[in-house]
Amino acid sequence: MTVHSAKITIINRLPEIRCVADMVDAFCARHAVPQRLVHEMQVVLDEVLSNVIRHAFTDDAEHEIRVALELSGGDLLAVVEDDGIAFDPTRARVDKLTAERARRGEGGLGITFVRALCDRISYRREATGNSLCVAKRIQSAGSPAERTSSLNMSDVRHGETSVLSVSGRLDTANAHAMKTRLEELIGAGARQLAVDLSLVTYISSAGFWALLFAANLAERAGGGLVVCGLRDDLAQLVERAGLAQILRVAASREAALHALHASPKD
Amino acid sequence: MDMVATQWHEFPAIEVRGRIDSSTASDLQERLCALVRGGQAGLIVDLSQVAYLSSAGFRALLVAAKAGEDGGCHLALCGLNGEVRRLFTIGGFDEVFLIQSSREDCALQLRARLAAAPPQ
Repeated sequence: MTVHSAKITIINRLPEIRCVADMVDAFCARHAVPQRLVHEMQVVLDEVLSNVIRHAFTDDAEHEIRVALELSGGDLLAVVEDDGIAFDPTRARVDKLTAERARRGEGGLGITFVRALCDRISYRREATGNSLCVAKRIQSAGSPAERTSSLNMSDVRHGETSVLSVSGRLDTANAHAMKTRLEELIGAGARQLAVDLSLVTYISSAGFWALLFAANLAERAGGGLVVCGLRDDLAQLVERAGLAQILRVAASREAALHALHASPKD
Repeated sequence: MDMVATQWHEFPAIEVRGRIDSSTASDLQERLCALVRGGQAGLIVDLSQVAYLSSAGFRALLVAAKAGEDGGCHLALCGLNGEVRRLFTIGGFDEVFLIQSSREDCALQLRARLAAAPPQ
């Protein structure tokens, strides 16, 4: 698979966003990315970068923000890394939008755009700062807003323990994205994995299969995987399907972490 | 982003071109606010040459619309292409602004509003 990429580092000043926008235009023109997608990615990056520049730094010093673009597997990806305070746009609360609030710069209009215009968003808090990856699918019909199957993932890592939060629908396509992410986490050294599904509304058989696959992978690496936060209907489904015998389930994130650190399932 | 000020019948009109993002929105806001405070009863904003607006751009339009409202100058938008219109819909701004397809329709609507509520 051919992967094309481009990178730029800017400092935390608003006019610098123009350099990123120029890079996105040039990169996308070079690789014939459809104009509509380019514009949507531009809006997303403007929201993400202006938010980082305005809110991530508690001092007046110059900070570097790294932006990488990648074209891979039919996706246009952008990764934004900064060394500011933790902020997870996939979990941030969005209040009801009103024109009044938007005019005052409140109410999360920017985050609304990011969520509506991306096919996937994943956030990772690392020791050195924030890493946000936004993705747009190029090879697909219809706009993300018309599709119902968007998936957001974010993970927080402490040593060998990772908590992956997932929201959206775990259908066939999304199950694959989650499986890939879990494989990446385990590949990067995570051994104890808690998967928080409290914002997941639907899990297909492919979704369960992906969880079982990753649990097996984690166990073979000497760790484990515990699913937590299942909604009542999904918890009942797990019970009825007999999955509770083979998939470790905990009520809450805390219970999952406790179970992971208490003793591995035998 | 560029802005070209023109006139459409009795109303000032401004054509905005290019990207309206957080690095350009403050220029737009300044320019629009100056125009709506210029003593006219309406201002036509033509967005047909705009590639996209981020939330900073919407904020600029909202601030200008409020400044206009306070000073008795209506803002009318036109020329929203597919992508720009979609952003208006996502933001829930379809009903917030007076949006028409053309400058001519903007002028008609502005006249109708003035006839219904003449400035004091």
